Amino acid sequence: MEKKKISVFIILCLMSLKGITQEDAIERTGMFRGQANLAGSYIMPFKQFGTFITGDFNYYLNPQVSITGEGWYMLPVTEKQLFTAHHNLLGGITWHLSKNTRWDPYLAFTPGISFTAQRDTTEGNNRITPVALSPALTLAVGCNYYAGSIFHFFVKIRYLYTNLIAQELPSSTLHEIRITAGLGFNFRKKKIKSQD
Amino acid sequence: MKNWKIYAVLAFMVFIIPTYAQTNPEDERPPRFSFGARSTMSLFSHGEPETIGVGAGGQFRVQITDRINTEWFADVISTRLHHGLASRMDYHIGWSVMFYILHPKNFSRKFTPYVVAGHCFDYTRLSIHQRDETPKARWSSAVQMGGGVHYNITRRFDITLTCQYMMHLGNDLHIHFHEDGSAEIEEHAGTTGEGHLLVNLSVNYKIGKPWKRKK
Repeated sequence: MEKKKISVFIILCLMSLKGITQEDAIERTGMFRGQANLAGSYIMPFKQFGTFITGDFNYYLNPQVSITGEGWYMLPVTEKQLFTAHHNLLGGITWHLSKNTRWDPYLAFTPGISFTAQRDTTEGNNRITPVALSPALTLAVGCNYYAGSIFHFFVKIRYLYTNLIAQELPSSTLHEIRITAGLGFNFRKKKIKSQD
Repeated sequence: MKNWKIYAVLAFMVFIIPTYAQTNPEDERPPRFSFGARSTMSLFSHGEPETIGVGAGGQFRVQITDRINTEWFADVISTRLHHGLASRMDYHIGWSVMFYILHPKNFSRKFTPYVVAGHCFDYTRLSIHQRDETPKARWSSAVQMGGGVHYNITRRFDITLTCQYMMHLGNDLHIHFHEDGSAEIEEHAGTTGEGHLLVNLSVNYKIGKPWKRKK
């Protein structure tokens, strides 16, 4: 019985792989994709986990280059979390490694700004600093899989580096890894002939 | 309030200008219009080699001739000073002229080196942390020059690394820490030549022609 289950599982895996490797073309130029989702992060110097609502979009200028915009909003999950705000607006360009295939691995270069507020617990304090703005350096790697004409699956890992500037605390440096995955949507406003 | 205006300009450059995209560029000859995003590292900031600033911003380029390109940029850089006891924010908006050392051949070369020089306006704000001292700020002007290279992934899309020294021409603003632990922000009139070494990594995409070339 156990062998039968394993055999069925292997057959299902092979069938799904066959579906995945069918690289029928999907025209990306002029396509718009977007998603909104939950994301998790680990803030390395502070050993803190973060939870975010995030949304992003890409507009494909050609099969391998797209304009990218992203928003990240940190959720208050516990009363003890160090960062009461750690939101981001990012914008830039994404380089897609494949051309017009359903698999879409990419590298995203999206600098932006951070809006950060921290809990000040030094010397018996328990106050929250005002939201401060600071520039952020970020890089992301990820992959989309365009399963249908209007939706796709995605996974994305982002690295973020910023200086935390709060008047009430010593300034510090923040390194962070963020991960998000899920279902996104895509549509085309008009079909534009590829130019590259 | 001034900070919000500067961020609004940055947002305009990063998000709005790309909507100009998708005109047919007739790629063979300039003029060309491109846009991009940049990350910046600020080194040797104002005589303090241990400080490294990080910044972000955007730019667009208008290439006038085969060998001459112009770059119009805005960015913001934050720098930790004195091991986090103070900080500096620099906001830049300016322009540069790029001269390609090798003929770019319509960017068919993988690497296109260039020299660059230009001018910018800057707003600097210094803060001492955990003190009651009010942050000080000043507007000034700056000049920058250096070199860089495009790595052309395609003729339209490049990654650019630029290294340039930016020298501020306005009053010198710096933090003076005393041996007894006190600190103050000092402003000295006159140009001292203080500045910082900026290393920019940017990605850029050529989207079309800003005007038609005369035949």
